[in-house]
Amino acid sequence: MTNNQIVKVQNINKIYGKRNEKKYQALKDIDFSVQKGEFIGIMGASGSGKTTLLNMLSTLDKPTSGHIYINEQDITQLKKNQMADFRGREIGFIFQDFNLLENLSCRENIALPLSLQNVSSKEIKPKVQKIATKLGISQILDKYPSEISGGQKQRVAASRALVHEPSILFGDEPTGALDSKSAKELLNTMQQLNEEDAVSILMVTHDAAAASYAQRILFIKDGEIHRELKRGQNSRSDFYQEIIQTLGTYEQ
Amino acid sequence: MLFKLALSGLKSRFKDYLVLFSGLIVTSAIFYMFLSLSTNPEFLKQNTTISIIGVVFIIGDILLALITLVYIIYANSFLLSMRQRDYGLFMMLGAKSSKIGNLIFVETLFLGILATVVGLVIGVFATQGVANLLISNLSLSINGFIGFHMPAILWTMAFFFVLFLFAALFNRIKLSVIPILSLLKSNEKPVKYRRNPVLIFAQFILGLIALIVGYYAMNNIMILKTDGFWLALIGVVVGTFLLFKSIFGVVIDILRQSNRVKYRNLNNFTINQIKFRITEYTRILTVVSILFAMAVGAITVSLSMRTLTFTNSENLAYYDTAIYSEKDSVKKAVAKLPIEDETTFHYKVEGSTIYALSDELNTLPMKMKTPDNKVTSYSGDSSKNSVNDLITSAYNNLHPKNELFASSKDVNYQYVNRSTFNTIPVTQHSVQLIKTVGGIRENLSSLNALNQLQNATPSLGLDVMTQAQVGGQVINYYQLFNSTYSGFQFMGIFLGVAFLTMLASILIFKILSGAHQDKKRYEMLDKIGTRRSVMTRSIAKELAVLFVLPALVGLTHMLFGLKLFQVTMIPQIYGTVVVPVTIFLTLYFLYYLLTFFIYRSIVLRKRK
Repeated sequence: MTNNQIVKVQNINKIYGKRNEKKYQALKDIDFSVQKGEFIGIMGASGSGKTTLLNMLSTLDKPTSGHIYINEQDITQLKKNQMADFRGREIGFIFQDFNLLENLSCRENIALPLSLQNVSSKEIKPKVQKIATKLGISQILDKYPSEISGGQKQRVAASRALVHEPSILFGDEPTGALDSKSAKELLNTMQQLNEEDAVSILMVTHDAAAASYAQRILFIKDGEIHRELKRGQNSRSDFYQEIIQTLGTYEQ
Repeated sequence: MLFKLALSGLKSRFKDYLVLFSGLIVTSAIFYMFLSLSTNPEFLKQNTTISIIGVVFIIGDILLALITLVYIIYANSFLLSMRQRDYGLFMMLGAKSSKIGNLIFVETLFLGILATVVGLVIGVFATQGVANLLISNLSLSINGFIGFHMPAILWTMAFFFVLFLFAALFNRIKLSVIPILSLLKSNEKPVKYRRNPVLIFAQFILGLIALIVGYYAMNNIMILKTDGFWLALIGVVVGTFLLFKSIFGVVIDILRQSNRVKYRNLNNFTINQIKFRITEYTRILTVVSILFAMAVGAITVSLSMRTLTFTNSENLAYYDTAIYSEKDSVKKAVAKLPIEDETTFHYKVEGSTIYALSDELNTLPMKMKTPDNKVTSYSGDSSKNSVNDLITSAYNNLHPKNELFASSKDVNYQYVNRSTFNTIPVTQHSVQLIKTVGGIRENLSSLNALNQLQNATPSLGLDVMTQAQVGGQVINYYQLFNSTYSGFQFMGIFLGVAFLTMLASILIFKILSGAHQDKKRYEMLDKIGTRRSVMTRSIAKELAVLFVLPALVGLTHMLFGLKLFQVTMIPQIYGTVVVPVTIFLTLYFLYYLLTFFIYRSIVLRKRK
């Protein structure tokens, strides 16, 4: 494994069902890696296994066999508390439904990962301010999630995911609950973070428009990596057409 | 089909239902137990020498009924919070709202009736058990108290049936009024956080004034009389409510100002959970703190009545007991007593004349207590009346069938010197007065046993009051007071424990009915990498605040409230406060632990 790989997935399998029950293999021999600073998309229909894969990557679930390395650490070997700490330190997570704590203000929501790592309160404030400015939400920091729009909520969630400078940002359909304008703005911001700050991003989506922001896309079907698309020097709209075509071939 | 669906929903949340169901069972059992006392004329007649206790029990009934009502309201809201999402789903799938209404109506009523019946069965056995336990442990004299009492069963059933009927009707109406969407999204209601600081300040000032008025009224109950009682009640309730509404929110805001506290671990989350709860919990925290005060108060008063029984009896006589029986068993028992002071008088009875020794009266004066609790000695003629009474009672007990002495009217007393005394040709009897080392507090059981030995033959059907006056010693007065106060004590402890059970259950239900909403928050915290131990600590802290706040406020109320009893009945009441408070806090702590474990099992389900 070279130092350039931030995520390395080695032959992971996930089989559901206990000994005497009917078995169901959700993931079959998945094997891929993510380079440092890469923006990668994972696409697939419902039930294809993409959420299962993301759960493994984010230590919320364990594979039946195989290994996952994130930042050179085998996360399949971690114990419970280590997994929690790992999630808190190395991973940033944006969810479809934001997952903001509605009883905390935006500022407090963003500060939470730092508080959990016992960062001193003096350091917390400027860090929150910095990431909020970058994501354009410094005006609404003292509002509560119920007082802001969906697009703003997702920016707050993104700030919370990035404030502790994680090794990689995971997105689980981050634009799924947003209107098209907010979705576009969020994706532009993500691309900007990727290009300017070299944030590694892995995003799961079934929306071709969202996926076209990535540099590389893995298509998952029935638990297997079916195909890989690279954007290369293509423009985003060309890449979008290519994705649509690829999805079309799936239909047949 | 819908009924089957509802039943399966019930099965899937069996654990939550178990909490609800056992709570309801305990309530109906407690209600039955108390009613079985207060509707049992045998029990009341046998255990009361004063008519006021009937009134006291009726007040107890009303209080218990009110608290049961509050309790059912919270239990019902817990039930509704569990079910409304399921029912919203059924309605979305096309079930008519009237049908759903009928379903929740039947479910509530069925659950209620089942809980009442089971509670009654438990109540019958528990009544018997508790009665035996209390009577043997506290040596209370309580008679005619049996487990099964038909009128109490009927009353309990009627009361609970009416309550659940209303609860069922309420649920039915509520479900048919709320739109389907808000049923489905009942977990996602936005919460308001911002409040007007001027309003909070006004509430704080008003609450403080109300509380001061309430406490003042309790302190000056002798001047204000009944008005003071009402003033105290209203002042304390209103004051507590406004206090919870204003001040604790402010304290939390101050706490949030400190970044060092705020940005540490989950502190911020915990503080906000508490803040959110306190605004939401104002009413329930008020109810709980008042119930807390009443429960500890009731137990303290009961226990201090026990001390009161001792001191009152000790104040009325100098000697602990009088020995007149000549039985061997009595003599053996007397030999075992640690004697501090004693006097023996001799007498003879011939016809209707009693002869006593005048020499003895002059040389061995009989000691007595004055009204201001000092010891005086009577000697010579001045003491004749007490000695007469003493000898009469001794003779009555010795020869209970002798009608001549049933009343002392026709008895003729003669005081003679020793030589004359010796010439009277009948057997000589004696009365021995004994004061023991440590008195009745140390030797209660042996003194009681001795009295029973002497009174083996029922003495002329005299009631306890006359017996005490005729017997005239500390142990006789103790038995009189004990029989008077036993009913009070029993009721106090009973109501105290009942209040504790209910206040804690109310708190549990309120906290648990919010647990399903909180679950989502803990799932989020888990996803962003919070250790389980950190979340567990946060839960423990949050629940601790919710338990400690009403306890603190309740204890303060109680300490002021005891003043009522200090000036009217029990001057030394503050001396006995430590034991009941300790016992009570221990039980309360166990409730806290129970809530903590149930809540944690709901919000932090184990990951597979």
